[in-house]
Amino acid sequence: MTPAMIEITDLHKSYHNGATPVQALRGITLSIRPSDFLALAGPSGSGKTTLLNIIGCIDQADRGELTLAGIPIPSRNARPESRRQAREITRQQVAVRRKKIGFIFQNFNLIPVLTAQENVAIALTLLNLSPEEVFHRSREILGEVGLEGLENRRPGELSGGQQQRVAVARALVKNPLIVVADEPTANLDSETGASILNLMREIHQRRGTTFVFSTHDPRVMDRASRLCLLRDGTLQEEQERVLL
Amino acid sequence: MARNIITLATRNILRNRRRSVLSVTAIALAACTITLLFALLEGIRADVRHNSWNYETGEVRLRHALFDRYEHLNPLHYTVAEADLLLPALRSLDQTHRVSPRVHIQGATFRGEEMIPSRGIGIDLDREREDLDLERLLLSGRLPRPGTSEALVGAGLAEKLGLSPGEPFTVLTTTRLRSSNAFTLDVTGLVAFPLGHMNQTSYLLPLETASRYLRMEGGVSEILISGTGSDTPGLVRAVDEVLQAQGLDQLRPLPWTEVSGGYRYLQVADIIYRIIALCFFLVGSSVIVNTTMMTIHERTREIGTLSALGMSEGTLVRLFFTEASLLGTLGSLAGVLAGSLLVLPAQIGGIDFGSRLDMVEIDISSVIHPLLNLQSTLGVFCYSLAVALAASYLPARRAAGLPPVEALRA
Ligand SMILES: Nc1ncnc2c1ncn2[C@@H]1O[C@H](COP(=O)(O)OP(=O)(O)O)[C@@H](O)[C@H]1O
Ligand SMILES: [Mg+2]
Repeated sequence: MTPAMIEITDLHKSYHNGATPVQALRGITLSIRPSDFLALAGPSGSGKTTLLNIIGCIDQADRGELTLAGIPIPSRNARPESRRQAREITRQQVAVRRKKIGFIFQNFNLIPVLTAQENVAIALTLLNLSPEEVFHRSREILGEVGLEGLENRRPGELSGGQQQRVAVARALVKNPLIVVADEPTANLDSETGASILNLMREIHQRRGTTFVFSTHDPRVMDRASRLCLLRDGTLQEEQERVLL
Repeated sequence: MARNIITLATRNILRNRRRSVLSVTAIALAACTITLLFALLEGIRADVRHNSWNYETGEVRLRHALFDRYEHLNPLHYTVAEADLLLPALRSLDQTHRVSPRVHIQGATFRGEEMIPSRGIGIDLDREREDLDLERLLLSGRLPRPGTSEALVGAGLAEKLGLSPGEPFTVLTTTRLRSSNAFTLDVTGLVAFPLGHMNQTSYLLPLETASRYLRMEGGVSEILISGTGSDTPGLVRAVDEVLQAQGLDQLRPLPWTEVSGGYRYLQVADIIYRIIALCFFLVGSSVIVNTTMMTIHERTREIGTLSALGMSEGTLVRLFFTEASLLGTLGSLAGVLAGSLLVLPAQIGGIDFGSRLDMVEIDISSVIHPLLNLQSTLGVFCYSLAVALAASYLPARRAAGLPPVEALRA
C-alpha cells in the first residue's frame, strides 16, 4: 500500500459566529492517496467547502488530525504555547500553501489588474525563482491549458472558461503535490465545465498530481476516480472506480 | 518579487484613477500649504533676526550689568563708559563682523500743545550707513553729516510732527546726570524703517551729537556686536575675554537669544506653525486613511486569493505600503513643488502686511519676504511621505492579518 498523500483522522470543525454554533464537520476520517482524483459530493451545507479549506491550509480544524505529504498540520486545539510558536505555525501554513498546494476557486479569483500570464507568474514569484524562469514556466503552462496567444489579456477580456483555465494554470505552475478545487465548474456552463474537468484529469494523469475537488454536478462526479459523499458534516459513503 | 509588487501596486493605483487623484491631491495640498507656511516662517525668522541684530540687540548686546536690572528707571548713568578702549579691542576679534556703539535718547517732542514721545538713536554714521542700508531706506532728503545736529526721522514720526526735510524739531530729554536738556535737530531726511513701531517713534542722529547732548563723556548706552551667527555662545565668550583683559567686570554681554523680544516671538511662532502644520497633515492623512480603507475593503477577496497562494502577511502589507508610498511620493513632490513655485514670486517681491504691523512692538518688518529653505522643504517632503505611509499602515495591517478564508468570503 502506498503512503497517503492526505491523512485525515476524526476532523471536527464548528462555526461560532451565529446565535447557535454550527457543526460543519463532525468527525471526518479519510485517507487520500497520491493517485486519487477525488470528488467530494453532497448537498449544499454538508461541509465540502469547510473540508477543502482545511485541507488547503487556509482554515484550521478545531480538533482531529491532518497530515499533508507527511507534514502534520496542527488543529486549533493544539494550542500554541507562545506567540512565537503561533507565528511559527502560521508561517508554516503559509509555506505549505505556497509550495505544496494549488487552489482553484468556484469564481476563479484572478487578480483583475494583472494579465493572464502575470496571474500565473505570481504563484512562481512567491517561490523566489528567477524572472526568466518565472516567465518561461508561466508561458509554458498557459500553452498547456490551451491559452496560447491570450497571455497578455486581462481577466476581464477572457470568457469564464478561459479564466478558469488561467486559474488551473496558476494552481499547477508550481508543480504542487495537491490541487484543491472548490466547485471548479459551478460557475461555468456544462460544456465548458466538462472541458475544464477534462483538463484537470489530463494534468492529473500526465503529472500525477493529487486532486481533491467538490461538486454537486452528477456528470462531474462520474469522472472522479473516487467519490466521497458528505452529509451534515459526516462521510456517508465512498465509491471507487477505475478512471475511464 | 520586488518588481512584481511594484507592478501590482502601479496597476492598482491606475485601477481607480479618481480615488488615486483624490489621495494625491490631499497629500499635495497639505504639503503645499505647509511649504508656504514654513517659507513664511523662514522669512519671518530671517527678518526678525535681521532687525534684531540691526536695531535691538545685535547678536550679542553689551551693556552695564546694572542697566538691565534698573532698566525700568531709565538709569542712563549705567553706561558703557570705556568705549574708546573697548571698541578697537572688540573689532580686532576674529569672530566679530560688526561692532556698533549706540546712544539712546528717550525723550519727548512737541507739536503745539501735544507731547509726542520719541526715541533717538545715536549711531556711528560712517560705519553704519552701509550695514543698515540707510540710502535705501531714505524716502526723501539726505543722510546727516557726522558731528552735526542733523537727524533722519521715521516717516510716521515726521507725519505726526508735520515735519519735512529742512525743518527743525526740538527734543526734551534727561541727561546721564539726570538734568533736563532740550536741543534742536534739523531734519535732513525721512526714512522708512523696516519696523512699523520704529517708523512711528524713532529718529537717527550722529553718535557724537547724541553723546554730547546726553553728556555721555565718551561713554555709550550699549554696544551691539554681531558675528556670523553660527556660534553665538562662542562670541559671548570672546567678548567676555576682552572684558576680563580690560578689567571691565561691570559690563555684561548677553546673547540675543536671551534678550531679544523678536527671538522669543520666533520661538512661539515656531511652535504655532508646527501645530498648524500638524493639523494640515491630520486632515490630509484622514483622507488617505479613508481612501486606503475603501481600497482595501474592495480588494479583500484579492487579499484572500494572494494569501491562499502563499503570500505572507508581511508581503501583503508591503504591497499596500508600496502603493501608499507611490501615491505619497507623488503627492508630496507635487505639493512641495507647487508650494515652492508659489513662494518664489513672493520671495522676490515680498508680501506687504502694511500698517497692520505698525503698532506691533515686535521686530517684524511690514514687508515679509518668504524664504524657501532646502532643509525645511526636504523636511516637508519627507514628513508628508511619512504621514501617507503611517496613514495606510493600520488598514493594510488589519486586512493582511485577516484569515484567508474570511478574506475570500468577502
Ligand atoms: N463562515 C461561516 N460561518 C458560519 N457558518 C458557516 C460558515 N461557513 C459555513 N458555515 C456552515 O457550515 C456548514 C457547512 O458549510 P460548507 O462547508 O460551506 O458546506 P458546502 O460547501 O458543502 O455547501 C453549513 O451549515 C454552513 O451554513
Ligand atoms: Mg461550498
